[in-house]
Amino acid sequence: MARDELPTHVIEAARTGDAAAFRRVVERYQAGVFKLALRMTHSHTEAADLTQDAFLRIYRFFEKYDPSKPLAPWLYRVATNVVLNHIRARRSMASLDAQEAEPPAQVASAADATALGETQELVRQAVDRLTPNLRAAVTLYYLKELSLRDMAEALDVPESTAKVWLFRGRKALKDMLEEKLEP
Amino acid sequence: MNCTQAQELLQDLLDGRLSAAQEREARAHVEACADCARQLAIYRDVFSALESEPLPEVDFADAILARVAAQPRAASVSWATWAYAAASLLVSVALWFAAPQNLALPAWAASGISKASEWAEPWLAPATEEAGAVVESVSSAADMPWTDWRAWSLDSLSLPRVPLMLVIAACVAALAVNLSVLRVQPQARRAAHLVL
Repeated sequence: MARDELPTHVIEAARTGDAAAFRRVVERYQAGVFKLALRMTHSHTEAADLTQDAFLRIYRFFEKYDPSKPLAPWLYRVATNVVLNHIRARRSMASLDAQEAEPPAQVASAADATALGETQELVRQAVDRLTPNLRAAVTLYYLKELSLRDMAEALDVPESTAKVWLFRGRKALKDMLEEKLEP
Repeated sequence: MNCTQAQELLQDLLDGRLSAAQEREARAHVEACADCARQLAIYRDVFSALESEPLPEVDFADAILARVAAQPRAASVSWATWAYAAASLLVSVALWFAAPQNLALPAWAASGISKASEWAEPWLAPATEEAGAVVESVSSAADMPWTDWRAWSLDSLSLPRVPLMLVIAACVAALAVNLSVLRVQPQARRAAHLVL
Protein backbone atom coordinates (compact mmCIF):
# COMPACT_ATOMS: atom_id res chain seq x y z
CA MET A 1 0.00 0.00 0.00
CA ALA A 2 2.67 2.51 0.96
CA ARG A 3 4.99 4.05 -1.56
CA ASP A 4 8.69 3.53 -1.08
CA GLU A 5 10.29 5.02 2.00
CA LEU A 6 13.35 7.21 1.59
CA PRO A 7 16.72 5.53 2.25
CA THR A 8 17.67 5.46 5.91
CA HIS A 9 20.83 7.51 5.40
CA VAL A 10 18.83 10.26 3.70
CA ILE A 11 16.34 10.42 6.56
CA GLU A 12 19.16 10.49 9.11
CA ALA A 13 20.98 13.23 7.23
CA ALA A 14 17.79 15.27 7.06
CA ARG A 15 17.20 14.67 10.73
CA THR A 16 20.58 16.14 11.57
CA GLY A 17 20.02 19.25 9.45
CA ASP A 18 21.35 18.38 6.00
CA ALA A 19 19.53 20.70 3.61
CA ALA A 20 19.91 18.53 0.52
CA ALA A 21 18.56 15.51 2.37
CA PHE A 22 15.66 17.51 3.78
CA ARG A 23 14.83 18.64 0.25
CA ARG A 24 14.37 14.98 -0.67
CA VAL A 25 12.00 14.56 2.29
CA VAL A 26 10.02 17.54 1.08
CA GLU A 27 9.88 16.29 -2.51
CA ARG A 28 8.77 12.86 -1.33
CA TYR A 29 5.92 13.94 0.93
CA GLN A 30 4.83 17.41 -0.21
CA ALA A 31 2.08 16.14 -2.51
CA GLY A 32 0.46 14.07 0.24
CA VAL A 33 0.69 16.87 2.79
CA PHE A 34 -0.73 19.35 0.29
CA LYS A 35 -3.61 17.03 -0.56
CA LEU A 36 -4.44 16.65 3.12
CA ALA A 37 -4.31 20.41 3.64
CA LEU A 38 -6.42 21.05 0.52
CA ARG A 39 -9.06 18.55 1.61
CA MET A 40 -9.28 20.12 5.05
CA THR A 41 -9.29 23.79 4.01
CA HIS A 42 -10.90 23.72 0.54
CA SER A 43 -8.46 26.48 -0.41
CA HIS A 44 -5.38 26.14 -2.60
CA THR A 45 -3.79 29.22 -1.05
CA GLU A 46 -4.28 28.05 2.51
CA ALA A 47 -3.19 24.54 1.60
CA ALA A 48 0.04 25.85 0.06
CA ASP A 49 0.80 27.93 3.16
CA LEU A 50 -0.03 25.07 5.51
CA THR A 51 2.16 22.68 3.53
CA GLN A 52 5.12 25.00 3.96
CA ASP A 53 4.31 25.56 7.64
CA ALA A 54 4.09 21.80 8.18
CA PHE A 55 7.52 21.16 6.68
CA LEU A 56 9.04 24.01 8.64
CA ARG A 57 7.73 22.38 11.79
CA ILE A 58 8.99 18.99 10.64
CA TYR A 59 12.45 20.45 10.07
CA ARG A 60 12.42 22.28 13.39
CA PHE A 61 11.53 19.20 15.43
CA PHE A 62 13.09 16.53 13.25
CA GLU A 63 15.43 15.46 16.04
CA LYS A 64 12.41 14.32 18.03
CA TYR A 65 11.61 11.73 15.35
CA ASP A 66 12.58 8.20 16.37
CA PRO A 67 14.63 6.86 13.43
CA SER A 68 13.88 3.26 14.42
CA LYS A 69 10.28 3.79 13.27
CA PRO A 70 8.87 4.62 9.82
CA LEU A 71 9.00 8.28 8.90
CA ALA A 72 5.57 8.63 7.26
CA PRO A 73 3.41 8.26 10.42
CA TRP A 74 5.45 10.82 12.37
CA LEU A 75 5.64 13.23 9.44
CA TYR A 76 1.91 13.09 8.74
CA ARG A 77 1.18 13.44 12.44
CA VAL A 78 3.08 16.74 12.48
CA ALA A 79 1.38 17.85 9.27
CA THR A 80 -2.09 16.83 10.48
CA ASN A 81 -1.59 18.75 13.71
CA VAL A 82 -0.58 21.86 11.79
CA VAL A 83 -3.62 21.61 9.53
CA LEU A 84 -6.13 20.81 12.27
CA ASN A 85 -4.75 23.55 14.54
CA HIS A 86 -5.16 26.00 11.69
CA ILE A 87 -8.75 24.93 11.16
CA ARG A 88 -9.52 25.21 14.84
CA ALA A 89 -8.00 28.66 15.02
CA ARG A 90 -9.73 29.79 11.87
CA ARG A 91 -13.16 28.65 12.83
CA SER A 92 -12.80 29.10 16.62
CA MET A 93 -14.19 25.63 17.17
CA ALA A 94 -14.01 24.09 20.62
CA SER A 95 -14.49 20.62 19.25
CA LEU A 96 -14.16 18.97 15.85
CA ASP A 97 -17.00 16.59 16.57
CA ALA A 98 -19.60 18.74 14.87
CA GLN A 99 -22.42 16.63 13.48
CA GLU A 100 -23.33 18.91 10.59
CA ALA A 101 -21.61 18.35 7.27
CA GLU A 102 -19.69 21.36 6.01
CA PRO A 103 -20.12 22.61 2.46
CA PRO A 104 -16.90 23.14 0.50
CA ALA A 105 -15.70 26.67 -0.10
CA GLN A 106 -14.84 25.85 -3.69
CA VAL A 107 -16.86 23.79 -6.12
CA ALA A 108 -15.10 21.90 -8.87
CA SER A 109 -15.32 23.49 -12.29
CA ALA A 110 -16.65 21.74 -15.37
CA ALA A 111 -13.06 21.35 -16.59
CA ASP A 112 -12.15 19.56 -13.37
CA ALA A 113 -15.12 17.21 -13.77
CA THR A 114 -14.01 16.29 -17.28
CA ALA A 115 -10.43 15.66 -16.27
CA LEU A 116 -11.15 13.63 -13.17
CA GLY A 117 -14.12 11.72 -14.33
CA GLU A 118 -17.62 12.28 -13.18
CA THR A 119 -17.57 9.68 -10.44
CA GLN A 120 -14.28 10.84 -9.07
CA GLU A 121 -15.49 14.46 -9.05
CA LEU A 122 -18.69 13.48 -7.24
CA VAL A 123 -16.67 11.57 -4.66
CA ARG A 124 -14.27 14.47 -4.23
CA GLN A 125 -17.13 16.89 -3.60
CA ALA A 126 -18.68 14.45 -1.15
CA VAL A 127 -15.38 14.12 0.75
CA ASP A 128 -15.31 17.91 1.06
CA ARG A 129 -18.67 17.73 2.80
CA LEU A 130 -17.55 15.32 5.50
CA THR A 131 -16.96 16.55 9.03
CA PRO A 132 -13.28 17.35 9.72
CA ASN A 133 -12.43 14.17 11.63
CA LEU A 134 -13.99 11.88 9.04
CA ARG A 135 -12.51 13.89 6.19
CA ALA A 136 -9.03 13.69 7.71
CA ALA A 137 -9.34 9.93 8.24
CA VAL A 138 -10.53 9.23 4.68
CA THR A 139 -7.93 11.55 3.12
CA LEU A 140 -5.02 10.11 5.11
CA TYR A 141 -6.08 6.52 4.43
CA TYR A 142 -6.31 7.05 0.68
CA LEU A 143 -2.95 8.79 0.40
CA LYS A 144 -1.81 5.15 0.31
CA GLU A 145 1.15 6.04 2.53
CA LEU A 146 -0.20 4.80 5.81
CA SER A 147 -1.63 1.64 7.32
CA LEU A 148 -4.63 1.92 9.65
CA ARG A 149 -2.28 1.95 12.64
CA ASP A 150 -0.10 4.63 11.03
CA MET A 151 -3.18 6.66 10.23
CA ALA A 152 -4.27 6.47 13.86
CA GLU A 153 -0.83 7.69 14.92
CA ALA A 154 -1.04 10.55 12.46
CA LEU A 155 -4.43 11.53 13.86
CA ASP A 156 -3.19 11.02 17.41
CA VAL A 157 -6.12 8.77 18.31
CA PRO A 158 -6.41 5.10 19.24
CA GLU A 159 -6.50 2.69 16.31
CA SER A 160 -10.09 1.74 17.15
CA THR A 161 -11.13 5.40 16.88
CA ALA A 162 -9.36 5.80 13.54
CA LYS A 163 -11.15 2.68 12.24
CA VAL A 164 -14.51 4.08 13.35
CA TRP A 165 -13.80 7.43 11.69
CA LEU A 166 -12.80 5.72 8.45
CA PHE A 167 -15.87 3.49 8.56
CA ARG A 168 -18.24 6.38 9.23
CA GLY A 169 -16.55 8.55 6.61
CA ARG A 170 -16.86 5.96 3.88
CA LYS A 171 -20.41 5.12 4.89
CA ALA A 172 -21.31 8.82 4.74
CA LEU A 173 -19.80 9.02 1.25
CA LYS A 174 -21.79 6.00 0.17
CA ASP A 175 -25.00 7.50 1.57
CA MET A 176 -24.37 10.87 -0.09
CA LEU A 177 -23.65 9.28 -3.46
CA GLU A 178 -26.20 6.45 -3.36
CA GLU A 179 -28.63 8.10 -5.73
CA LYS A 180 -25.98 9.49 -8.07
CA LEU A 181 -24.03 6.24 -8.34
CA GLU A 182 -26.87 3.81 -8.86
CA PRO A 183 -25.46 0.75 -10.63
CA MET B 1 -26.77 -13.21 8.36
CA ASN B 2 -29.31 -10.37 7.93
CA CYS B 3 -28.97 -7.17 5.90
CA THR B 4 -27.91 -5.03 8.88
CA GLN B 5 -25.09 -7.42 9.75
CA ALA B 6 -24.04 -7.80 6.13
CA GLN B 7 -23.92 -4.06 5.45
CA GLU B 8 -21.67 -3.59 8.50
CA LEU B 9 -19.19 -5.94 6.83
CA LEU B 10 -19.26 -4.57 3.28
CA GLN B 11 -16.32 -2.20 3.77
CA ASP B 12 -14.14 -4.90 5.35
CA LEU B 13 -15.20 -7.27 2.57
CA LEU B 14 -13.84 -4.87 -0.05
CA ASP B 15 -10.71 -4.22 2.04
CA GLY B 16 -10.05 -7.96 2.35
CA ARG B 17 -10.11 -7.83 6.14
CA LEU B 18 -12.74 -10.49 6.81
CA SER B 19 -11.92 -13.98 7.93
CA ALA B 20 -12.53 -16.74 5.40
CA ALA B 21 -15.74 -17.79 7.13
CA GLN B 22 -17.06 -14.23 7.41
CA GLU B 23 -16.25 -13.56 3.76
CA ARG B 24 -18.10 -16.67 2.62
CA GLU B 25 -21.14 -15.73 4.66
CA ALA B 26 -21.13 -12.09 3.53
CA ARG B 27 -20.74 -12.99 -0.16
CA ALA B 28 -23.51 -15.56 0.10
CA HIS B 29 -25.86 -12.92 1.53
CA VAL B 30 -24.91 -10.31 -1.09
CA GLU B 31 -25.55 -12.77 -3.90
CA ALA B 32 -29.00 -13.46 -2.49
CA CYS B 33 -29.95 -9.88 -1.56
CA ALA B 34 -30.42 -7.22 -4.28
CA ASP B 35 -30.29 -4.29 -1.86
CA CYS B 36 -27.00 -5.39 -0.24
CA ALA B 37 -25.59 -6.12 -3.69
CA ARG B 38 -26.43 -2.56 -4.70
CA GLN B 39 -24.82 -1.20 -1.55
CA LEU B 40 -21.68 -3.22 -2.26
CA ALA B 41 -21.51 -1.90 -5.83
CA ILE B 42 -21.80 1.71 -4.62
CA TYR B 43 -19.06 1.12 -2.04
CA ARG B 44 -16.89 -0.38 -4.78
CA ASP B 45 -17.31 2.71 -6.98
CA VAL B 46 -16.55 5.05 -4.07
CA PHE B 47 -13.45 3.11 -3.03
CA SER B 48 -12.24 2.93 -6.63
CA ALA B 49 -12.62 6.70 -7.04
CA LEU B 50 -10.79 7.38 -3.77
CA GLU B 51 -7.95 5.02 -4.65
CA SER B 52 -7.47 6.29 -8.18
CA GLU B 53 -7.47 10.00 -7.37
CA PRO B 54 -3.97 11.18 -8.27
CA LEU B 55 -1.77 13.18 -5.96
CA PRO B 56 -1.56 16.86 -6.88
CA GLU B 57 1.57 18.03 -8.65
CA VAL B 58 3.15 20.65 -6.45
CA ASP B 59 6.66 21.94 -5.88
CA PHE B 60 7.24 23.84 -2.67
CA ALA B 61 10.80 22.61 -2.12
CA ASP B 62 12.57 25.86 -3.01
CA ALA B 63 10.24 27.99 -0.90
CA ILE B 64 10.42 25.60 2.03
CA LEU B 65 14.21 25.31 1.92
CA ALA B 66 14.54 29.09 1.78
CA ARG B 67 12.41 29.44 4.92
CA VAL B 68 14.28 26.58 6.58
CA ALA B 69 17.60 28.34 5.99
CA ALA B 70 16.28 31.39 7.80
CA GLN B 71 15.00 29.60 10.87
CA PRO B 72 17.00 27.95 13.66
CA ARG B 73 16.16 24.47 14.83
CA ALA B 74 14.63 23.94 18.22
CA ALA B 75 17.25 23.65 20.95
CA SER B 76 16.13 20.50 22.59
CA VAL B 77 17.45 19.69 26.01
CA SER B 78 17.69 15.95 26.21
CA TRP B 79 16.96 13.93 29.28
CA ALA B 80 20.67 13.24 29.57
CA THR B 81 21.37 16.93 29.86
CA TRP B 82 18.71 17.36 32.52
CA ALA B 83 20.15 14.38 34.36
CA TYR B 84 23.60 15.94 34.16
CA ALA B 85 22.29 19.25 35.50
CA ALA B 86 20.39 17.53 38.30
CA ALA B 87 23.40 15.43 39.24
CA SER B 88 25.59 18.52 39.25
CA LEU B 89 23.13 20.29 41.52
CA LEU B 90 23.09 17.37 43.93
CA VAL B 91 26.87 17.22 43.95
CA SER B 92 27.01 20.96 44.62
CA VAL B 93 24.63 20.59 47.56
CA ALA B 94 26.48 17.58 48.90
CA LEU B 95 29.85 19.33 48.73
CA TRP B 96 28.46 22.41 50.38
CA PHE B 97 27.16 20.50 53.38
CA ALA B 98 29.99 18.02 53.52
CA ALA B 99 32.86 20.46 53.27
CA PRO B 100 34.87 20.34 56.50
CA GLN B 101 35.28 23.54 58.51
CA ASN B 102 39.01 23.31 58.45
CA LEU B 103 39.94 22.10 55.02
CA ALA B 104 43.48 20.83 55.06
CA LEU B 105 45.38 22.03 52.01
CA PRO B 106 48.55 20.41 50.69
CA ALA B 107 51.71 22.04 52.08
CA TRP B 108 52.76 23.43 48.71
CA ALA B 109 49.29 25.01 48.17
CA ALA B 110 49.17 26.52 51.65
CA SER B 111 52.70 27.90 51.19
CA GLY B 112 51.79 29.39 47.82
CA ILE B 113 48.64 31.00 49.14
CA SER B 114 50.50 32.42 52.10
CA LYS B 115 53.22 33.95 49.94
CA ALA B 116 50.65 35.37 47.52
CA SER B 117 48.75 36.92 50.41
CA GLU B 118 51.90 38.52 51.78
CA TRP B 119 52.75 39.94 48.37
CA ALA B 120 49.25 41.34 47.77
CA GLU B 121 48.78 42.64 51.31
CA PRO B 122 49.69 46.29 50.62
CA TRP B 123 47.16 46.53 47.79
CA LEU B 124 44.33 44.41 49.18
CA ALA B 125 44.32 45.60 52.77
CA PRO B 126 42.28 48.76 52.21
CA ALA B 127 39.77 46.99 49.96
CA THR B 128 39.53 44.05 52.32
CA GLU B 129 38.94 46.31 55.26
CA GLU B 130 36.24 48.20 53.39
CA ALA B 131 34.59 45.02 52.18
CA GLY B 132 34.68 43.60 55.66
CA ALA B 133 32.99 46.70 57.01
CA VAL B 134 30.27 46.41 54.39
CA VAL B 135 29.73 42.76 55.12
CA GLU B 136 29.65 43.39 58.82
CA SER B 137 27.11 46.19 58.46
CA VAL B 138 24.89 44.07 56.25
CA SER B 139 25.20 41.14 58.59
CA SER B 140 24.34 43.29 61.55
CA ALA B 141 21.34 44.74 59.78
CA ALA B 142 20.00 41.37 58.74
CA ASP B 143 21.15 39.56 61.84
CA MET B 144 22.78 36.91 59.71
CA PRO B 145 26.09 35.21 60.53
CA TRP B 146 27.79 36.09 57.20
CA THR B 147 31.18 36.40 58.79
CA ASP B 148 30.92 33.09 60.54
CA TRP B 149 29.82 30.98 57.59
CA ARG B 150 32.44 28.31 58.18
CA ALA B 151 30.88 27.51 61.54
CA TRP B 152 27.54 26.61 60.01
CA SER B 153 26.35 23.07 60.46
CA LEU B 154 23.53 20.94 59.15
CA ASP B 155 21.55 21.64 62.25
CA SER B 156 21.44 25.38 61.69
CA LEU B 157 20.49 25.33 57.97
CA SER B 158 20.90 29.06 57.90
CA LEU B 159 19.23 30.96 55.11
CA PRO B 160 22.36 32.80 53.94
CA ARG B 161 23.87 29.51 52.77
CA VAL B 162 21.06 29.05 50.24
CA PRO B 163 21.82 31.97 47.90
CA LEU B 164 25.40 30.87 47.30
CA MET B 165 24.28 27.29 46.80
CA LEU B 166 21.71 28.42 44.27
CA VAL B 167 24.30 30.49 42.43
CA ILE B 168 26.54 27.43 42.13
CA ALA B 169 23.63 25.29 40.96
CA ALA B 170 22.47 27.92 38.48
CA CYS B 171 25.94 28.19 36.97
CA VAL B 172 26.16 24.44 36.60
CA ALA B 173 22.70 24.23 35.07
CA ALA B 174 23.46 27.09 32.68
CA LEU B 175 26.63 25.31 31.62
CA ALA B 176 24.64 22.13 30.97
CA VAL B 177 22.02 23.97 28.91
CA ASN B 178 24.66 25.77 26.88
CA LEU B 179 26.39 22.50 26.16
CA SER B 180 23.06 21.06 25.04
CA VAL B 181 22.35 24.00 22.74
CA LEU B 182 25.81 23.63 21.29
CA ARG B 183 25.13 19.94 20.80
CA VAL B 184 22.00 20.41 18.67
CA GLN B 185 23.46 23.05 16.36
CA PRO B 186 24.39 21.09 13.21
CA GLN B 187 27.20 23.41 12.23
CA ALA B 188 28.73 23.26 15.67
CA ARG B 189 28.34 19.51 15.74
CA ARG B 190 30.13 19.11 12.42
CA ALA B 191 32.90 21.44 13.61
CA ALA B 192 33.21 19.42 16.79
CA HIS B 193 33.49 16.24 14.76
CA LEU B 194 36.32 17.79 12.78
CA VAL B 195 38.10 18.81 15.96
CA LEU B 196 37.64 15.48 17.65
